Amino acid sequence: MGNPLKSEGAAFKWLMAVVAGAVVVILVAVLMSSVAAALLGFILIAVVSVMVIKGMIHMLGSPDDDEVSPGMERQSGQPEADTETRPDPEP
Amino acid sequence: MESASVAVGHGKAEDHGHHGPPDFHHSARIDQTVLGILLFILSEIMLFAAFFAAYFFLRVVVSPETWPPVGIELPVLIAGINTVVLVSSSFTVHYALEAIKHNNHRGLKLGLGMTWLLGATFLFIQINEYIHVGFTPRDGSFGTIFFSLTGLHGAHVFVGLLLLTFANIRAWRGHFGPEQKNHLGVEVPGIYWHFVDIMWIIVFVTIYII
Repeated sequence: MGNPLKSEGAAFKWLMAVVAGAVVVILVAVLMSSVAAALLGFILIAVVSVMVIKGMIHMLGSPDDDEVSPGMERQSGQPEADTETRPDPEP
Repeated sequence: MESASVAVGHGKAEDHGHHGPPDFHHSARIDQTVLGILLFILSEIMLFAAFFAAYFFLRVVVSPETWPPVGIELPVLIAGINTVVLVSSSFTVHYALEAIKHNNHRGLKLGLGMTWLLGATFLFIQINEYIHVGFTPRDGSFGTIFFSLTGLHGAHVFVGLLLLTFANIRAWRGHFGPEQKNHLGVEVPGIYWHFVDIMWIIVFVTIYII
């Protein structure tokens, strides 16, 4: 469904998914038991949380990845910044 | 290399007519606005999670057998109607945004106005429920957590209504347009409003149904 914070439309789709999940949980609570409904609710929230966290990691990237700021794209032929080749700062 | 010149010239950013932090410090991975909303919503989720943790602790550990306590009847039907009212308001705010994307200013004003009215109706019904529910926050752990969770959510609805008030005023003044940069003032309150709706659905199912 995509990042719910990307746009209002994406957030609306997430809302519809939550409504559908809530209807299922309510049906389980009415037809079976509150405990079963609570367990199902926890499972659904856990699944959604994993999806959201994976999406956020994908969006933010790894700290190990090199980040190039806008307007500071590396020029062709320019050596990649490396801590080993970086000169010591002046005292 | 304009950004680089801004970055190098610390304290001279005004020379370039630039306000705020220099471009050099902006992340290339994520838009600033999205990051701001992301951090805000995450902090809100953690706030609600703390209250839900307190609710389940009280329910499972403190009083596992009598929940809700004997003599307390929650108005499930009224809360269910209130849920329908609030979910309907998400449809109207979605309609408002779709309308302005198609340059339909009348639809924008209608959608935002309906959203505000539905949100105010939700708050009115909830306050009415507080008056007639038959217990207070002082009446044991159930009363405390009931009013805390629903009150926390009610406060968020109130903030959402404030945002919608500004959006309504701006809509009537003709501030919004079909391009995305011209209707962010509707889009961001819309995302917040959907978040508030999602939280209410979880609160409703947890307190009134389960």
